Amino acid sequence: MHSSEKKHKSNRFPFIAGIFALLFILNGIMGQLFLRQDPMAVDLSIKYLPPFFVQGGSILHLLGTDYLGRDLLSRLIIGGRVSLVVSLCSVLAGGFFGSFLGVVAGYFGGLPDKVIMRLCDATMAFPHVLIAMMLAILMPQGFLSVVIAIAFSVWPRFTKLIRGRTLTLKKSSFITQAKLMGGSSHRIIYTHLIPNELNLIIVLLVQVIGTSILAEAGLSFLGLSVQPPNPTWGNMITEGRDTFHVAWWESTFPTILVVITVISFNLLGEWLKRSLEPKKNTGG
Amino acid sequence: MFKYVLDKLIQSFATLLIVVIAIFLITRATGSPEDIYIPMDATDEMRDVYMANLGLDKPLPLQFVYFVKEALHGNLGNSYATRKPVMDSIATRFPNTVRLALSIMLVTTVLGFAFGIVSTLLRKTVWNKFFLSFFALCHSIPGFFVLMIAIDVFGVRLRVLPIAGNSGLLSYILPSCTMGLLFSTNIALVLRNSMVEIMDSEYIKLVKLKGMKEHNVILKHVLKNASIPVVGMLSMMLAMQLTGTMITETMFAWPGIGLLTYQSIINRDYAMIQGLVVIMTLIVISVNFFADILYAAIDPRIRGQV
Repeated sequence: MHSSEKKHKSNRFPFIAGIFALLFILNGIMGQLFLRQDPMAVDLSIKYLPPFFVQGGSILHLLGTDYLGRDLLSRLIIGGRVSLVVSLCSVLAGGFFGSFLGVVAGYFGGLPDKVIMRLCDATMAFPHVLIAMMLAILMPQGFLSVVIAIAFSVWPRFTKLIRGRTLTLKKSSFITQAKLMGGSSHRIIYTHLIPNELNLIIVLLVQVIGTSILAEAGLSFLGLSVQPPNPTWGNMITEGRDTFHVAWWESTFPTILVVITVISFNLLGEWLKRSLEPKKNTGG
Repeated sequence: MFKYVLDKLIQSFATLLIVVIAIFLITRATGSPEDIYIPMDATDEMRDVYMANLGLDKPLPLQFVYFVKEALHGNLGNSYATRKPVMDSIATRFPNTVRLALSIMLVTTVLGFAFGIVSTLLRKTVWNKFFLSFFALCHSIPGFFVLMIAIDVFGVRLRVLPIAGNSGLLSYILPSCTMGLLFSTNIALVLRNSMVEIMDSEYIKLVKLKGMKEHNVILKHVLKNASIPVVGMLSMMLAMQLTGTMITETMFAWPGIGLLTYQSIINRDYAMIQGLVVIMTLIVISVNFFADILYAAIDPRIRGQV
């Protein structure tokens, strides 16, 4: 009794994390309505303006300005939207592609399975930053190349998870019966396997969002993400690198936002995962 | 066991082949060196001679066969930028990456086990929240920001540690302590979860019932069994470090293969990139291969499910 109570209690919905995640998404949808300054407007006369709570700060620029005198708060709002769109697109693309291959590998087995698993291993052995760099040479550097690079680095996780799940489901009686009734592979995959795997896919999607936000920041550091002057959180941290000793706020605020967002999505992912585990959900 | 090893060997070989084919095609699809390394006013004959010298005038399958044949003899071609053999550049840089990787892994392992054990022992006290928050923070902070702060504090403000290049033992301290600290929290969390799980199991309860003190139980019984997933994780990290983390090496201007990769991509030195990827993949695959064998040797259950 005691342990089941404990488990139940430990799986409360993480409210604060939920609120931050919601804010992150809302900011992406309608953040630009709250812009007080033009995020691209350069004004060298007010460069390195500190945030309002530090002496010398101004209420006009709540979080201060960067090395070109651009308003930091406005750039954070717009940069957050870029980070949201990049991480969502890359995770969805990687999740879709990876899950599809996972179902195929698990359901058909044999040669397709072998080929797909080797592709998985090859992808995981291949340095991911290198793919981003190759893409940056191959196509105009920016949104699409980051999304593909991150999607490329996450798809094997989906494939491995979904393949395992498909192998288990394939043995269950309802799939056998569907086969006996003459259901085509196509039909079994779409009406039986995928609906039963959707919850797993969604959990992993949420869990991977944090990873992809961090990956975007890392690629920004190497100059491989969305190109400046367009802000992303990663770009902003990188731009603050050389001016850290004069303007700590330039890289610290975007870092704080990255940390909060990543932690929030990780906590949400963990909560989703736990609430889907049947053993613990029923209270043991 | 023999069949298992053979199977893994074939798998590793297939993976390597896929990567080699992929990198061969990608480097050829991303553009030709003649666009970058030949002056605009060169005549067509000069271009033909240049391409013929690099062997790029032959059909793709032939180029590939030639590349593989030479690679098996330890020759990965010449760099487009410096004309020197790719293998030589990698060989001079690689020891630096290995040394940095090993020192990072040392810090990671020591701190990881320390954090893991301490956080497990204190899991029922107020320190529990502190450790979990600390681990979560280290998981979600961009590594280069932490490096930036470390460089600013120890290199710029206090001026106690060198911040660029490899100029002796002191140079290792900043990168390996910072990255080691960040990585160690991954190890600590995995170790903690696996220790807590084992401590709830029946045989540990029995040992406790027999009257053994909790600290002794943890050191003698729990830690040994809980280390298995940690070994896997450490080997994965080692592979990652050996291929040179581009961010760390760029940040510290460390003369290793991560920085070399970054520079080669900026110079569009495709021959160098191709060689680097082959070597990096070889490292990752061999580390994974040995980890798999090690697992199978420890755990007989794995040998069955090839």
